[in-house]
Amino acid sequence: MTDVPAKPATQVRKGRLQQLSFRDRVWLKFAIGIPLAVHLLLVWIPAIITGLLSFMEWENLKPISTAKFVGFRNYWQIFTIFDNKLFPALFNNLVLIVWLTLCSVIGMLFAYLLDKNVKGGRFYQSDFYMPVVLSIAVVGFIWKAVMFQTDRGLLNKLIPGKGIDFLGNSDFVFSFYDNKILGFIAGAVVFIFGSIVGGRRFGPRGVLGALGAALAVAVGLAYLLPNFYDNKLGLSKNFFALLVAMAWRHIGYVMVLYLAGLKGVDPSLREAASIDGANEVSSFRHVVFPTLRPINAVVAVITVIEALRAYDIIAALGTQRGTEVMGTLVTGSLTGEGGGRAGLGSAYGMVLFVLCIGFIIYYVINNFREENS
Amino acid sequence: MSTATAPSVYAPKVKSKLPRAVLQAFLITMSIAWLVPLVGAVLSAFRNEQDIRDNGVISMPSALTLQNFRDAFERGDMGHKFFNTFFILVPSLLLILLFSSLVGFACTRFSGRFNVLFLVIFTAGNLMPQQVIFQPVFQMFKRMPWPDLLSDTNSVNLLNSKIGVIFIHVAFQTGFCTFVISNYMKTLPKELTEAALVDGASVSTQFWKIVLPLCRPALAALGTLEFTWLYNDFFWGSVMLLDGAEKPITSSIAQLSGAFSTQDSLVAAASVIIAIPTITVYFLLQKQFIGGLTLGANKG
Repeated sequence: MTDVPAKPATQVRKGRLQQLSFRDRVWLKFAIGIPLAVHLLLVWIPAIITGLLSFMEWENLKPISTAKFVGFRNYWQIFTIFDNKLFPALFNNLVLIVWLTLCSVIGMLFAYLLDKNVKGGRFYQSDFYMPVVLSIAVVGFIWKAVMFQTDRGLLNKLIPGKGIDFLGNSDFVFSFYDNKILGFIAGAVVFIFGSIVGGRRFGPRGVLGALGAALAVAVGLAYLLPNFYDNKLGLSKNFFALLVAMAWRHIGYVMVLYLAGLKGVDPSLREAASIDGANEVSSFRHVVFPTLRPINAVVAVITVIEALRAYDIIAALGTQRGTEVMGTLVTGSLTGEGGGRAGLGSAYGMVLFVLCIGFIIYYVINNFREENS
Repeated sequence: MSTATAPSVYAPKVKSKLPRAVLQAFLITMSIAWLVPLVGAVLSAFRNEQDIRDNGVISMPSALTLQNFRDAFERGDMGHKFFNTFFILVPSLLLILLFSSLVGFACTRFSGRFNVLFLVIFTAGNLMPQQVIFQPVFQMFKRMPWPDLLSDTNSVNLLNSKIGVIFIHVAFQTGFCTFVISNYMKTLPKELTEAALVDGASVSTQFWKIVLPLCRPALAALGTLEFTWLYNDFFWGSVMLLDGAEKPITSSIAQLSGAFSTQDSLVAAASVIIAIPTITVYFLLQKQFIGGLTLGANKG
């Protein structure tokens, strides 16, 4: 039968370890072993240790033997009265997720427009992309010095009236303590939107639905919790200013990813759609968008992880009041003044980890599915 | 302005083609908006503080000066900081590319039981937030004795040592690069190494002489991308290197701004100096740069 000669051929296709000499096998073991050891030692093992430390009490300047197991006490403390920092930071991360998702959509729009072979397309592309090569810490300072400066910043020149202190003002743009109705409406809208979108349209089913539900729960908490903890949650003005600077960088990043994806769209399909009388919007929705699905998954994960990891621009500008996010909270609770309580800092870290791990797993499954089957 | 033209781009009356003029107007408006902060920073850097204070950031400069650059370079100790950055960057970059090609090669060209698991570990590890692992790594470095001979400072451990930061970067970034490079290696025809195997070439010869040269485009793309990422690193440089003199270039601007908070022209000049290497690399190697990003996104 035909599969008789085919069988040895498939066996040779990938080098079988048994066929290799002893030296070659040792070489391969080292080739994987050394990088894997470094990676495990400095990434995964520390992550596990953080998990363990989050259940312990330990002053990190003292010897490790002084650490003692305290169960969920650290978690109980950070989620309740301890220093009232967790929920404002979580809220800012949540705002970042929503904001950067919005920026990703704008990035997709830019890519779609640039993909139309416009004159000077390369110039636009370079221009939009340039902020991405800058350090995010430097981006913060450029915006601070050029745009936000109180007396001569460009935004203050454009906006008439007395100079606005963009980076120093931690008043809320909106908050859920003052306006419970707004909180309720936002929660409901996000939930409905999330479930419709997740159930019907995008990528692997339910991912955005789950995201939507998570947002709804978070907004719901934001709406409910102040009643318990007397803790005002909202978007502060200086954090909003930082969001604008972050958008400047994020949009170009996403645009480049989508531009590569759009190159993969079969032009004859688009032509066919336009002959059939499809307008711009419907040809995008039914022809272009479906082919972008793998990119959507990547961009979704990048966007969420970037939003959860955010640290540099905030820390570089000195972590002003109202701009605290999970990243600065974890770092600050371990280093700065009042730091040193490794258990509490690790508990903050684990909250961040739990928020990320779902998206990490989704990304990995999405990428390695074919190989497993 | 931009908001006014945006809706008309998608106006339903437009049939299959957008009017080019509207599209161009929209893109020109947006690209100007995008350039403003950068142009503002460059302009401010060349002017003296009093001039900016009197006339605003965007105005005709009364005189151009290089004094800000000189001051920023000196007061920010930037020569030293550049040295620190490249001392960390060059070995990290080489090791990252070597490690990730080794793992990619071993996992994609040879069948092993745990190959997929290894790739999953690397890919997932790369997405881990740095803050989660920072505390144990910090303690590990503080407590781990490190031979003087291999140390760049006089410290007896890896804390506050640039070599420690190199380790961290290698561990972290190998994750992303392994993912990208293994996807690239999967696309190389199997026959190439089969022939070498039949000829009796050892595995290491296959790697160095056949597979690695073929991966040059992917390595160039990854190298360019990783260059900017490592260069722009702010987190590890600022939390692991406690001594100001050891810190990388990205931290010098925070230091300058702390000491001379009212001198925007100085901060602007520092920003421009810091941006020069990555902007140069970007313009020289734009194709590789974008290739690196999209290689990661397109699954090979």
